[in-house]
Amino acid sequence: MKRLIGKSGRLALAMCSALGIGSAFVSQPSAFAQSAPHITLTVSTWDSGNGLVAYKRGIAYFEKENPNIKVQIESIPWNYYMPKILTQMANGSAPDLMLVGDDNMPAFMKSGMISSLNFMFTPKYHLSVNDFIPNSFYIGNKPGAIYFVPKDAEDANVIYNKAMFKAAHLAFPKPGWTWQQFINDAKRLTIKRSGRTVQWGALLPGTGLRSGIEELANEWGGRILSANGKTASGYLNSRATQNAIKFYVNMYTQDHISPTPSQTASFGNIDLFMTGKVALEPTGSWNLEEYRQDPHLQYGVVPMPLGPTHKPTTVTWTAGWALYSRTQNRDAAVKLLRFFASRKWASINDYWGIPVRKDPQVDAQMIKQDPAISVFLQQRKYIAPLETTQTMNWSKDVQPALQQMLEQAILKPNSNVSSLIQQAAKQIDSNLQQDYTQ
Amino acid sequence: MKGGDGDCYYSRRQVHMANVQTEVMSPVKATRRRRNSLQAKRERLFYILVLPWVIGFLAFTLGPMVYSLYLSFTHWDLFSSPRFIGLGNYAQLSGDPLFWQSLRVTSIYSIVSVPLGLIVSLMLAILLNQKVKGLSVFRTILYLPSVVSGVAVSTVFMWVFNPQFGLLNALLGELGVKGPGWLSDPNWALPSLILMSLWGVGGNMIIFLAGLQNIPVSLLEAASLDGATLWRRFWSVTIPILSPSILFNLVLSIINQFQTFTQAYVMTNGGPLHSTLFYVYYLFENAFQYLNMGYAAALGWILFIIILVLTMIVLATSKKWVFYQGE
Repeated sequence: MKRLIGKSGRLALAMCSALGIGSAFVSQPSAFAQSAPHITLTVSTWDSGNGLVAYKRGIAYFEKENPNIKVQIESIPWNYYMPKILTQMANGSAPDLMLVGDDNMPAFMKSGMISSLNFMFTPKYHLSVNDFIPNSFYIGNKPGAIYFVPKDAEDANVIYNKAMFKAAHLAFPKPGWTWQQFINDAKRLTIKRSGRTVQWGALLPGTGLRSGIEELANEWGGRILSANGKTASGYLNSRATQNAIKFYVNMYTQDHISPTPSQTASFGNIDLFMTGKVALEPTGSWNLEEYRQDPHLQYGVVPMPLGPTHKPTTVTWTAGWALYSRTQNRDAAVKLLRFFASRKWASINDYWGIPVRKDPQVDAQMIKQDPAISVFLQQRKYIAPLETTQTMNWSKDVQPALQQMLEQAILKPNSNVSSLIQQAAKQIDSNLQQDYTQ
Repeated sequence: MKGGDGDCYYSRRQVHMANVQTEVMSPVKATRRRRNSLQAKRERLFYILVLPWVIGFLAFTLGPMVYSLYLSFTHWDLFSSPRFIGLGNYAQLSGDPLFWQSLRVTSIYSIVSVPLGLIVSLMLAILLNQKVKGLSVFRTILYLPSVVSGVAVSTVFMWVFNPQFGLLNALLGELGVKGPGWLSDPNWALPSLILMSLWGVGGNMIIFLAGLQNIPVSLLEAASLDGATLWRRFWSVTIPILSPSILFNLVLSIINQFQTFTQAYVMTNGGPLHSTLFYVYYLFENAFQYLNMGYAAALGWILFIIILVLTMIVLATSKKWVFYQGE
């Protein structure tokens, strides 16, 4: 019995400790960290597969250079990444460094949960904002308000299947081509058999807004929101943006060159370009490494087609490393951040992603690996500011209304697109007003 | 003095008798004392053994529930501290069209899939209750799908329902029928998921099978001798005796179906056109995509109340249609 009570007592004590009841009896972690010779940094990312392998290689180099610092990388699947980071923040246990996607950057900056990194971009750290490509660097960061060390910044370009072009007796697309040429090619590349589409000319992003209507709005000379990010009326429903949206919707409903958003979703995670189901895809460079390894896949890359303004422009997907404001290991974390911003990191990291740092040597090495990547590197200068990062809560206030509008317009071909745009603008204004007055 | 003596004598006798009784009763008392002591030890042991569960329940169930109730009266975006807004979230619900849409989708799904699931699982249980060769193999085959993870099942069914290359449309094509877009068609997406829900009837089926095997053969034989037809025996003997299992499966199915999430999360993202916007998926969107934790907590409590009321209604009416053999 005594033994049983003893065991139960120990069990209860262990549970109390686990629940934090016994925290008063536990030594202070900060004091422990200061006196300990080794520091363990926690770093969270959504990278996985080859991206994560590359990271681990870079981290191994850093650990070798800094033997008193151990880095624990936690790879969290993309779908669970933000819920996990946010709940960790809510209970004060967020990682020392975390990767933040561009759409979350404004909320993180406002929250006070991440530290300003202005101090790093000074001669003391041998770092300057001039080391970076401004279009990419200032997507989340603002002059004088730097919170993110950019990881990479993918710009949108069109990847095309050379074999399909040859089979359709079409010339490969060239820089300076237009959206009308894109449609003409895509129509020729769409193949139907027995009433079923077996090959689509293009894979449009559906309700994915970035390379969809945001890209087209830029090319048509329009905007979705005002520059201060507080209103949609007068911008989303302006003539230029309306024309861009109608053009985009017509590619689905009249030209039938792309699977609809729900058709695309029904394929799950299958890469329709790689599996030979689509010929053209406006996207980032993230799948090129996989494409390179497929000896049967011949692909090329061309800049985004030009819109009526004939002004080259492209959107970007970017992410940056942020420093948790309550970290107990600030100095070590800053050291790692500094390493993330270095040329050494880019070279060890296997040139993963389109770099934000200006570095002709790194660029040359990347082009040597894959000549097609040169288009992504060249087009960085045309990256337009992201509307996503210019409002407080894009994913809550703007994105659902735009996606609903697009879904209705694409799935119900007879719907009045102008009217749907007006409704969306009204809804977004109401959401923004509510959010900015709270 | 006499009186005094007498009193003294009487008292002495009483004391003597008491002593005698004590001597006689002491083993009994001792046994009782030992028993009490044993009882106390057993009680202590009971409390020690249930303590981990109690701590777990308080920390991981009741505590979070009470906190979520508090959160439902606040505005909280996870970054800043929760701000008390009274009944604001609950008031907002009534004017939120997506709240009503999610409730509508979940209700339709539950109203159709719960009875459908019960009927199909009962039919399968009856089939598996027959004495045929290889019965255990059939039982295993039919139960197996219900132990496969929801995400895996959802991924498989995305391909089954694929309008271009899916198994279902290929089969329909062989019959000369052009299949619909299933998950990509707003009119077909919810019926597709209802159809898919039948994949998991194995759990209910096992409970029905256990119930069917508890039915005394003598009752069925007696009914046969009285001239009852097969249908009559099923309706008047099998169903009443099976009614506790039906009640159990009904309550659990209602709870499970109102909490449907995985299919929407993995297969449809609530679309197309919100046609599969399940309640719990909408709650998740509010919590982790829009960071409306307070609003999500309010949604959670409304769902809790809906499920509680439905369960109470089922249990209250069960007195009229559930029969226990001991009664």
